[in-house]
Amino acid sequence: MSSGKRVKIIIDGREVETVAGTLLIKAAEDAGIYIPRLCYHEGLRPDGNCRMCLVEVEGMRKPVPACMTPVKEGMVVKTDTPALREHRKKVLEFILTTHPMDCPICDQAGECVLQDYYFTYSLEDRRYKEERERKPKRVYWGKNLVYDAERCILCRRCVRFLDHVTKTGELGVFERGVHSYIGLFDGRKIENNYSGNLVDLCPVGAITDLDFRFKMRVWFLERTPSVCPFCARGCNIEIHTNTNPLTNRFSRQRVFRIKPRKNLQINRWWICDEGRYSYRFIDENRILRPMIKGRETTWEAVSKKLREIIGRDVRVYLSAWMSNEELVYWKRLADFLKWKASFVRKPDGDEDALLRVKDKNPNTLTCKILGLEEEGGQEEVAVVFHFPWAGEKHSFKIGIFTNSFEGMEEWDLILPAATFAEKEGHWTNFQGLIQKFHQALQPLGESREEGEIGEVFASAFGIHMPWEREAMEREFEKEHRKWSGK
Amino acid sequence: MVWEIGVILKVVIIFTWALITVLYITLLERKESALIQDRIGANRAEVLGLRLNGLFQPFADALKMFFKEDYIPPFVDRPFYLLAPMVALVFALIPIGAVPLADKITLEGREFSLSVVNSGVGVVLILSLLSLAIYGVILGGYGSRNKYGLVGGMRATAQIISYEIALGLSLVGVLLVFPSLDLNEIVHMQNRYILKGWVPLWGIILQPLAAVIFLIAGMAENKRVPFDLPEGESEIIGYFLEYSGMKFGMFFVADFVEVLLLAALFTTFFLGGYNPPWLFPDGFHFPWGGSLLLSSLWVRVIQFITFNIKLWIMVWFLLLVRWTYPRYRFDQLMELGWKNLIPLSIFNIILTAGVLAVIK
Amino acid sequence: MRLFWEAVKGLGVTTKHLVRNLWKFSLYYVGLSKDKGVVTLEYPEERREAFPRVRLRHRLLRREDGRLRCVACYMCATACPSQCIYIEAEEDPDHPLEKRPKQFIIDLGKCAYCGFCVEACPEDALRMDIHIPELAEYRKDNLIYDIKKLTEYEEGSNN
Repeated sequence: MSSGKRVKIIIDGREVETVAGTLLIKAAEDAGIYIPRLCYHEGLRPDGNCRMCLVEVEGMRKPVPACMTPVKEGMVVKTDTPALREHRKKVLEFILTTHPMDCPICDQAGECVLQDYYFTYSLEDRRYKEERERKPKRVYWGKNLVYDAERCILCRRCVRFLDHVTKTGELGVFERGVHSYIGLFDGRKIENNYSGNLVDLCPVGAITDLDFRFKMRVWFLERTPSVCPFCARGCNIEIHTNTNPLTNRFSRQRVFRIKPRKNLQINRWWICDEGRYSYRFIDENRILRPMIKGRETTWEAVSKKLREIIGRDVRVYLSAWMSNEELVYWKRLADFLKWKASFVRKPDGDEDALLRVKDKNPNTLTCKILGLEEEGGQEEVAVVFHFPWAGEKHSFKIGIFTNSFEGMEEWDLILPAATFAEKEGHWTNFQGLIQKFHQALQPLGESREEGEIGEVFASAFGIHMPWEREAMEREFEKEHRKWSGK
Repeated sequence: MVWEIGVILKVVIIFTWALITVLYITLLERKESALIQDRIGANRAEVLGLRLNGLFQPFADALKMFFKEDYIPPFVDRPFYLLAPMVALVFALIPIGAVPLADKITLEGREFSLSVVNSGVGVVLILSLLSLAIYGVILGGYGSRNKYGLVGGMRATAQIISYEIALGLSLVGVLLVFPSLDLNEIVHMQNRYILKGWVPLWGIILQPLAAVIFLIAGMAENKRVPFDLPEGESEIIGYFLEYSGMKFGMFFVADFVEVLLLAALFTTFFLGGYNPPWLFPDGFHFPWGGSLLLSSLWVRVIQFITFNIKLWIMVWFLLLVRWTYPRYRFDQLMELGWKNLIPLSIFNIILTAGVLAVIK
Repeated sequence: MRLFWEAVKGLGVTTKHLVRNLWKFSLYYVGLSKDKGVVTLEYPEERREAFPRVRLRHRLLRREDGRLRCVACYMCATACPSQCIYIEAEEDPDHPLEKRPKQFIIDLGKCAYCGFCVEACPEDALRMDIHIPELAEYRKDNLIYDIKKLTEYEEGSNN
């Protein structure tokens, strides 16, 4: 992209330099001028059907759609003239003649583009007095999608996404004119691994998510940037949480949904359904307190129990789900104690061409950079992170787990660990990119992040080794530079 | 024997009368203030389905006071704390015993006064007992171990001491005109008439200035609006801040007892006491010539009723004052006492003495 | 002296009220007059008619088919300055309106009776027009009104 010819255009009196061939709407957005759009999406091929993005270009008789017009040297563009404003009002009025206006019911309310545009550009009363067109509502499209044809504004983003991005093409537009609606082709269901993106793509509430449907109003959600842990791709995500007891009184759910975050290097605009719908482990089935042989105990008792392994033969199984900082800290702790260290990870899964990779762990690469091997041993004591099966062969088992599992009473000591949403840190994805994830929630119950648990170990053995995230981060950066050869 | 029984009976009856009067003063206060403010006032207390617009309210109030939780804060100085309300009430009640409610009668050949104390120096007795009432206040403030209470107590002490001077000096004028310390004598001396017998020689006519000073100083002594700085229930907080239940009730009743006392004293000193105009020991002698001869018993009954009527008029007036004026500021209070009332009362003494000297 | 005169005038004002009210109320009390003379309303026996716009207890309205008008949009909960409205939404599988409240709770103990919830409601499902002022309870729990309590009200008590 950056290699293309540079051109200069003038948008709203401002000189903008961009690459030849860029779409006008994109060039304007990069320059900070927002042109309203309904059907255009950066990640999709432009369609130009909504006519919301019309702009005036000098020398052209009629307004042109900014999403279909590539820039040309010397173009003079106006995006905000009285005529355009009037035009936008009319576009919105036409859409709203058939729109059901059931915002109180609609999950999209609050993040609905149509709603926002109405308040920004229109604010006009409805003049359409006829009976509203009735169309199918509550159509289940498979997996987690529900389609409401009445709310649909026929922008065809969903159709284009399935045609060009996933290339599965389950959807099409049926009927004509005011009767047209989006529908599945005969015998098809949307069962590809990226179906959740349709909900994000839909500018209105026509496609809603069964998983999120009616759970929470969007304006109560707090958004925390994070990184998806479910494969080594490290897609950028946003965790949407609500922990306010006044607005989230009845459900024990804290995380309500996962949304993708745009990152052109990694996941572009999308995430897969695996990453989108696997957040339940953050709130469900958690280990809340330390346990000795399956019986809950306190953190004070943990130190005492830990002293039992002093001087014994120990192997520590670090995990590919720990952050860079935690791995560095634990590696150092293991080296100091002359423990043998290796790492464990989830077994490989399937992959596809778009985003998903075989390695289903967020941080395998860091384990390898730090020189850890995937191996077992015959040592007496095992300190196991995240994956209980790694400790099977050992006689004295210490586990650091987030979620409960069958057979916890066989473990000599189980410590509750915080999930990725409850701590901050960095992961290195399979390409070698270090990405930061932020803390979205407080650790549930008495669980602690693995670094703090390491501190508990260190102090139980009388070692002064404070858990300092920044120092560990710097240390890993050194290792990373060594590894990448820069 | 009859005499002794009579003494006991009279003590019981007079204090019962005083306390019931006090109860109804509280009712009058509620009703009068209500009507002044376009309200109805307490009218809910019900006995056997009878409400009588609140006639039984004082008893309900009293009962409530008795059954309220009597909480003693843990930090108080217990002896003083417990003593204070009793002192306040007792020293407010006793002076009433010195006020004659009717003329003396003869019982078993001896003089039987219709007041609890038949003292030849009743005025001095009342003044001295009045000064003792201050102990209730200062002990209450001190024993509460509360800064606000203590400051309130100090305010009260300063106020009462200041106004006691004016109160005593104003009475000097009266004593100059009616040269006796016996209240009965003072009442008798007011039962004289001038202007062909039309106008009685009451204290208020001979000593108008003293009457005004006495009234104002008495109200200040009472610690009631507009002189209620020691209490200032809602704003400046007074000495009974830490009191609750019946102990607060005792302070509260002492307040009204003092109203009764002030009204009774004013009646005795300035309104001719228990004598209605033209009533003499043998009956009415009207200035227009007629006369109505009555037996000695009827005269006493009429005297008692008259005393009550005069008393209630005074009480009504005192309450009216209380519900009309806003509270004084402390500096204004002191200024009024020391710079106005005391000089005025001294002036009144000099004037009275001068006039008397000239007449004689 | 002028001040003294003003003070006496003050006494006159209070006396005027006292005498007028005493006269009028005495006549009223013995039944000779309808004019009470005083402003007091003897509450349990006498009630002032509620002003039409007075805001008191909430009630939830129903549609003609008996379904709650509420669609659990959370507008009231969002608008509520005391945050005393708690809603749990659920899917209504049989109705064209897909959403309904599973729980709808107003904590009147926290409510400031500002009426924002009523104004915010897009479905006219919530009103505060039950003109019964007796809302006092001995337990705070009783002030937490759920759907059952919010829909049970005497017909006609709202005028």
